[in-house]
Amino acid sequence: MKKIILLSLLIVVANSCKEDWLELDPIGEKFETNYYQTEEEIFSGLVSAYSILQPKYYSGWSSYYFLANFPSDDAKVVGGGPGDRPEYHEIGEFRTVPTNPAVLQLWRRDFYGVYRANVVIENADPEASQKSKEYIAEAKFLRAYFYFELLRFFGDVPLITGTLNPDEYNQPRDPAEEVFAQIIEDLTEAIPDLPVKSSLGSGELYRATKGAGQSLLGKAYLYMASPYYQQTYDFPKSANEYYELAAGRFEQVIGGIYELEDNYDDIWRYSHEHGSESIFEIEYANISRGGDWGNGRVNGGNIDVQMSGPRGISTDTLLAGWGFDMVSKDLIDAYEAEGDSARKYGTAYGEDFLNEIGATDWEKTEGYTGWYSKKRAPWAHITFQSSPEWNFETNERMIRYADVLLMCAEAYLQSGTGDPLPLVNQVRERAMLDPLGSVDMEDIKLERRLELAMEGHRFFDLVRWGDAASELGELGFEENKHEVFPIPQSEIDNSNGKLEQNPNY
Amino acid sequence: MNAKQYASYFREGRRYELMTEGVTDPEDVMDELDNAYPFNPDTLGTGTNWMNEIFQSAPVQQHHLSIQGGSEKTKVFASASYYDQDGIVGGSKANFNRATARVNVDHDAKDWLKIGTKISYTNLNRKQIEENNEFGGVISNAMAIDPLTSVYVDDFDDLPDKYLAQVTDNFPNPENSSLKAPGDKGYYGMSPYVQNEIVNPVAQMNNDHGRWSQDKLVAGFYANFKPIEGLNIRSSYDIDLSYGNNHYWTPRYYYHSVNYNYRNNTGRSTDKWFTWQLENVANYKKSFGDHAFDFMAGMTAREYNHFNLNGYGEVLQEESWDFAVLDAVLSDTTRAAAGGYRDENRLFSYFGRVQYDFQEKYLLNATLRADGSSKLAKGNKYRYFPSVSLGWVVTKEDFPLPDVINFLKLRASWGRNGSIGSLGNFDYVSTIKSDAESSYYLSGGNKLTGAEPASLANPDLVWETSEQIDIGFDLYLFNNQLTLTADYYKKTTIDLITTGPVPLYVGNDQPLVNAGDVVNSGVELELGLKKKMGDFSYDISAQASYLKNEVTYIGNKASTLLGANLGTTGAITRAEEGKPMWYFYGYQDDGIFNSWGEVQSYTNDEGNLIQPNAVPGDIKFKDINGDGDINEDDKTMIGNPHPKWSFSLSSTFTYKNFDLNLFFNGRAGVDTYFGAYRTDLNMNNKPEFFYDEAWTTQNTSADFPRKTVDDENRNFSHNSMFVFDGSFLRLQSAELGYTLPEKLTSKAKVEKLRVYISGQNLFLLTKYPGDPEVGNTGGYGGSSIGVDRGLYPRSRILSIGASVNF
Repeated sequence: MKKIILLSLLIVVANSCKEDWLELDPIGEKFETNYYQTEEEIFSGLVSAYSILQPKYYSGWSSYYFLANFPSDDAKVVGGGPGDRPEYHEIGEFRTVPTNPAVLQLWRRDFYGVYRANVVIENADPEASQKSKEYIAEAKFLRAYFYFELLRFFGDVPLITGTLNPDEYNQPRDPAEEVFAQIIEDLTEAIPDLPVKSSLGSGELYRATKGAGQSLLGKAYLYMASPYYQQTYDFPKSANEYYELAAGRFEQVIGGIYELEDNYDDIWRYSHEHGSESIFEIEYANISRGGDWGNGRVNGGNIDVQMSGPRGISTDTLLAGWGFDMVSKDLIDAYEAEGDSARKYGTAYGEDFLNEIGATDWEKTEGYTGWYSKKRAPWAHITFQSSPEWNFETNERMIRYADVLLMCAEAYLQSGTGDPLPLVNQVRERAMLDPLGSVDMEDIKLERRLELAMEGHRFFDLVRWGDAASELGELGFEENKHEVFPIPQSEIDNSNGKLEQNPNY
Repeated sequence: MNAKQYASYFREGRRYELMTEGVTDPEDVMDELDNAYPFNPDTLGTGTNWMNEIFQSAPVQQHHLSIQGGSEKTKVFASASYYDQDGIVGGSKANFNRATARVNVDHDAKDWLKIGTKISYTNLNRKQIEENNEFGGVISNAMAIDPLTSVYVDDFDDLPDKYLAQVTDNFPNPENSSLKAPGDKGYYGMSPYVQNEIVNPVAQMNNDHGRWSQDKLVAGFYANFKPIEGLNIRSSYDIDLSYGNNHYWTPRYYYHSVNYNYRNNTGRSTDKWFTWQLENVANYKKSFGDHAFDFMAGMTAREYNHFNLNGYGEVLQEESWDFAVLDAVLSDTTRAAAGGYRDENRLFSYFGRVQYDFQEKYLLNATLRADGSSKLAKGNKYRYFPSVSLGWVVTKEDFPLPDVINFLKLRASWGRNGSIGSLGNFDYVSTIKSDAESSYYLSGGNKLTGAEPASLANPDLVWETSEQIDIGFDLYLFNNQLTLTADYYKKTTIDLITTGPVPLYVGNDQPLVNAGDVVNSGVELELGLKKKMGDFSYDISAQASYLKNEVTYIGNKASTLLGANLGTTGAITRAEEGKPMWYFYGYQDDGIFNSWGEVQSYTNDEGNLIQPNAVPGDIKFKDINGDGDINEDDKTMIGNPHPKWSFSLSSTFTYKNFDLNLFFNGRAGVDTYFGAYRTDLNMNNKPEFFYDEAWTTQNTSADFPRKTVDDENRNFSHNSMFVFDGSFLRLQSAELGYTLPEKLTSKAKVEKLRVYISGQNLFLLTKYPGDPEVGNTGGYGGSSIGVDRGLYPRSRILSIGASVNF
């Protein structure tokens, strides 16, 4: 009898364990399907969209700034030599191939940003509160920001404005005209709800503001008006109309709350972050505890600052870096030819400066130019006392007032709707240069180069003006190829061939 | 390289480069060399041998005691053992010790009921030194730091001038800091030449204060019922409970101007793991004349739990273990952190088996299991895994066979089993994560905590399945003195779980998917030979296996996946259809350019140089895709990390009271990638063969490229020059024992007393410059097979011991 009781006990145990027993919920984690219900959850989603602005290393080296600056005549890649970060050297020498890992990571960063913005836009209820309205506006700004970056780097790209189902994963490239239209729509809808910079508290300065939205929208119009974009794409309006639209947007920014910094050298100083000239910055902090160079994205500090410092120095002023993004001799010559010592001083430092601060024996590796980027100088006081390489606080100044003034001057000059001269002279005056008597396109081009050097504008400016072949040809630029980067090969493969490669790659 | 070679490498390398650049004036050359490399190789001698500095011989102790006893109905087994080993790198800083106690009890309660329990407790303590990592592991540091720097310097002022200001500013009392070595050795030397992650490895080991300890209890209870003749039911419950404690502190240190830490800190994490398993198995045996049946059915339920709690704090009151206490740190709240998590998963299986044999001549075995896991979505939790095997014992047949054959059995089997070992608990859904990645770090030191979907979801995920076919035979000859076992097998892994080929523009991390098939096929042979001749006997067993590994399917259009990264130049392994899994991926060399003529005649269709930066002595790379340029697209398969042949030989010889055991193993037809050097650091030390076997204008038949300072040709890219034959033969262990004569020992009431001397890893024959058996390294999820990143070497252990039976 006992045996039978024991046996039946076993059978009960065996049968009570069905499929339900294998149903577990994660502990301390929600599912995507039950998140984004509250205002706080929407906000945390928006934060993740902002955070994706930050990484310059994401499972691999890929700085959005380096990728914009290396293919220009302002910078040399350098580092430890041609074998050190070959993906960067390829880009700097116009040898970029579709399998270049840095290009893939840039592509990924932008599309991840789009996805995170989409999640907010899809889930937030604009009627719920003023805050929800602002969150949606910021998400739309970010979506426009990421798409504008994608357009400039790649041309036509898949336009994705919602989360995709698995059966929609194979997407073709949508015409750039449609992507521009989406950017215009997003920014136009966002601007009314974006906060004004002066209303932000000290902890909120990271946010996209009305001024940032207006500047970015004006910039998008300016690109659409520019010769290369006019030739390559078929926009509904004429170049002139877009110049006018651009000028209209810039006018809303000019004469408002923004002012040029008094001293050019201050713009990129830590103490002047979010200063009077700043319109939109990507944030970096000194509270990262280090990380690993394996998988994942490196958030926290601005790693390009570490990358840009002189190799092998040891001083109290400046820390040692890895010797990338050296300032080209060509740019130094351009400053000297113009007698532009203020902006040269604020953009580059050379051997004299290193000697002055007591540096010795810095490494001069292959490609060494003698000039380092001051805008991303590894100042000893802007990083943390341990893991300094992960903790440089330098924010990237993505949109600043001088840029808006010069873009507006260009739009005025081209459309004839305003006088570019005072705008250009305002910028020149701050640089302690004599005012010009008249302005033509060549003046604006030079002014943009000298004012915005080593900030990631030069390559895109040369391309949109149609000047890239003539200015960068010696460095390896080929027309009808290098205006855009190749579409990453693995993306073409993983879309099962739906994506098509850019010409001549 | 030693100091003289190191200095010569750079001076000779640079001199040659200057010549190729057209700088020939001897005075200019000397100026340039003295400026860049101000050393005189002839006066330097050998310098510091860093490998000798970090390696040492280390003692190992091992003790084992066991007792068996009990009554007719109750059996007791108890044992205790202790193991203690210092590291050959790091000595007591890499100490490992383990104490284990075990008790097993079995009791026949009734004639139909048997119960038993087994309990074991283990305590282990480990201090670990970071090793196989090309970014700052102790061994790769010893390989990369220059031999000109000395391990210690006597006086503070002897440290490199260029660091003194920074050190003085941050270490007001250097003599009481981690800069100073223990005892009267002075200060740790600092290299003025090699920076980044590369630091003085001796100082690094001294600053490494980490302890891992674990208490582990494994216990089980079972009951065995025999309600009727032939039926056996076994019910068992087992637990595995373990507590782990990881504790470290880091002093303030300064290695050089790129690698320092001005804030000391401590961290601690505690873990609890608890797994329980319940298993019920019923077994019924029945024979009808020549027919014998054996039925089995059962179930297993298992639950795994893990709890973690961790904390981190900065600014210690004193740099010592006593103050490495989280409550004792002085840091403010933003610099101290606490964290923790908990996870669990469950597994449930049903299984059944039928065994049948006819006169023990024809054998049949069929099984079916259903395995279910909480790690998969509803509907996909379970998968069925059947298997069948057939056997025929030929020697049981009536027909005559040659007398020498004692036993011959032919076997064939087919079966499937499942695996989800690589899966996380919720990889099939998209969970929301809120961590450093999703957070926005603001200038000024605030962090906005964000949240985002961790990855794309894949509810379609199913069990990875491997299907194996095996055909073989067992043959015993000459009075069972010679045994031969041979098998052909083909193992196909289907639905391989791997990161999904979803385009990144979808906007989030790729989900895990079942998207690959891998076939491993081969032959396994085992030969045994044993004989006794008077006082002498031997027992030899040899195994050899042949393996072919091939990826047959990858679920994306390119049919490729990139594997592990190496150094700063990208992926070194790749998977591709039709090739071995995780083959070495890089540029294929086509020898070395011996002259300017050879450089200039290597042109493409347009007449342009394919390698415009090359000079004689540089590697000539194959233009694999034929586009007239060497770039990423010319990377190809340059080596196979899977051995074609693996073999081992184990042998025992006894003569009177002496016994000798030898165990050899080895492999052939395999490649190892030499990756234990950094290509992005110009002044780092390099392996000696880079110097000895370098191409020079006098030695144009050399195996390796010229001494390269400016690597414009990228001789140090991932390429086939660094793929070595990884074949080896190793004497894994040898033991010589002597058993004292019984008449001697019996007086001391000792049943048996054996003394022995043994050695492990006694010799290694290989062409590889190091130990080629590197396995799977660097934490890249299995994709870094055969890549040598500066591995913790296998130690050669010599031991003397005695075993006593009472």
